[in-house]
Amino acid sequence: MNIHANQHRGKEPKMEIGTPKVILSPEEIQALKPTERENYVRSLIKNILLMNDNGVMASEIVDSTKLNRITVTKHLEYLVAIREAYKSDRGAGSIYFINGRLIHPTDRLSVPIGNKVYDFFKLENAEGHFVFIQEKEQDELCSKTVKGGIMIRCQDLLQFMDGLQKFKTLTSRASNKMEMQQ
Amino acid sequence: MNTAQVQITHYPHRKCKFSESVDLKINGKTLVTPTFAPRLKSDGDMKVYNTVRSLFAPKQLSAYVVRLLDTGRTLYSSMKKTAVSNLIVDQMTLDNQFTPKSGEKVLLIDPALEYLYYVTNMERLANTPFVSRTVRDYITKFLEKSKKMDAAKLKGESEDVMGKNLFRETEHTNFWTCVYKDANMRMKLIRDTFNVELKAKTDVLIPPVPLITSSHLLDVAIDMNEKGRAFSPALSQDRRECADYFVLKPTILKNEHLMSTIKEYVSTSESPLTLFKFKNLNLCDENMALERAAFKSFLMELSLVSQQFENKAFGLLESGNQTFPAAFSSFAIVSTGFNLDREDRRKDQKDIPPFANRYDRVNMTIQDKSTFMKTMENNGHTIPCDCKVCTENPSIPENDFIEYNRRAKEHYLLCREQEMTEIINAIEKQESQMAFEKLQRSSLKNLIDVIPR
Repeated sequence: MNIHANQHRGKEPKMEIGTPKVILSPEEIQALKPTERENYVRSLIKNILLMNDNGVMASEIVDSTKLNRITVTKHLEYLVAIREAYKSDRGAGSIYFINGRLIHPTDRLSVPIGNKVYDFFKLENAEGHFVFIQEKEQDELCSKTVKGGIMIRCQDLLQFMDGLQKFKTLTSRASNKMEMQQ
Repeated sequence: MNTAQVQITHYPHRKCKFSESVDLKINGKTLVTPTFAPRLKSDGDMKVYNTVRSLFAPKQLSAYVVRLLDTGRTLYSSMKKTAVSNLIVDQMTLDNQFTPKSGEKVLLIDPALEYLYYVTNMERLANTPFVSRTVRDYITKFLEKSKKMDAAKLKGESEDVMGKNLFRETEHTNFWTCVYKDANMRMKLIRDTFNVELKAKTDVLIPPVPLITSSHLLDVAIDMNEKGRAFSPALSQDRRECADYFVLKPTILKNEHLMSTIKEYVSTSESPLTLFKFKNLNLCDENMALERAAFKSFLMELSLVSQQFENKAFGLLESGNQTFPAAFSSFAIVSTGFNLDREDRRKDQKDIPPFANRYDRVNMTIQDKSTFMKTMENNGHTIPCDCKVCTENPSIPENDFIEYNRRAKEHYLLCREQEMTEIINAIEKQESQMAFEKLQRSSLKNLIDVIPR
């Protein structure tokens, strides 16, 4: 059962958060290679965020998964850094939320450029509608790894694109000047 | 923002009693079910499959199965023959050269670890680099012990020596118990298997599971399925869906307790795709009445689960004679080898004739060359089949077994394609009687009892 993230959260009796049916045991996690361990823990934490729309605290994940607190916080912060999640500071701790859901299944576009893929999503979360651009890289097994991301409010998108256009013009002018001087 | 790698779309007009045809999307490739997935075991099989796909564009043959022990000679053998003409300059070029190309077809790599129990193919399993070292080490030790036992028997010490079947049973159970208890061993086995599957560009990950011969091994199989599924995201973020997999001895069908545990697990599991394999199952046998009844109830249960839950589909590997009734009832994917999975049942491997058996579409079973020639003679020296391969090649290459076998395989694929299409048409027209009538006319009459109604 999920608990609702609200300001009185700390005073409520502790309730279990939603977690995947099967979680690898600490011995099994220990048996993984370092990269696999990182991927596994990150995907587990992301799954937990997905299963708890009302957000989760790092301590709740630690309690339910028996993972190390530092590991959990590190991965939560990483997910925030690549914009897969966002956090809201409430009193003593932070509550982490998954960064929205697709407004419509078709609101997505993949643009492959070189060995990178830029995925565009239109998302909805508690703070409004966003365009989410995610950068992915293809590895030797042809699987994609998220490298970074950016969230832009839908209402600010045109302004953002204007800025991008201006930047492009600016940089091309500068490089033209450089060429002329040479 | 990862979306599910296996998605199922149901259509109200493609449902008829216990039968349903759905759109099964696996890793971005859509199958219209039921789909027949031939099990390919050599690059010759692969060529035949590709030829049929390119010449006849069959819609119901959009998936294929390769056993892990066959990946070398099926998926990688063509690469060995290709001369590397250019100097390989970077890792990317190297990977492109030595990684199978993924196509429109869905590829399933079957770990096929039942050969840890069955002696056929055990040695091949021990010698293939595609199988985890854990498995190879077990087989090497098993074979050594087995040889010692044989030697002891020859010396007349047989009374002190454990029976061979009991020895095999014990060793097999012990191996899987070790896997069950030892986290390192378990994760290594799962990792090695998944890595080979991913490298071969599988569309669904299939976990390594034991052949279920007892309730303990069922527990191990369930654990391996769950751990495989939990582990799969660790290999890549852009992950493949992990299927549940159960490999069963046909006798397990009669064990109500085990079967109900499996049914319960299937309906609560998070995996959208569950694959089954009943090793060497032939329900057509007169002595299999109890198994037939159990299989019918099993099909009924699966059919209800797949209709009740939006995202559940089932596959039956090495379906043998049960291919048609299974596809008609609840299995989205059915798979057999070109010889209806009979190679494991051959006792004397030396006596394999060069001419392959041919599928008789009316009798729905295979016939050897002499029977086929006799049938043809009785049919006025024409092939009693209207598939494109047979109509375009009316003469039989009696002395050229390579050509004979190639055509027999192409013919088999087209026959299965037609059967699957007939099933879809029957479902759409709500003609559930079609399956009964078709089986009634065939040599598989006994299988009428298997179809839920």
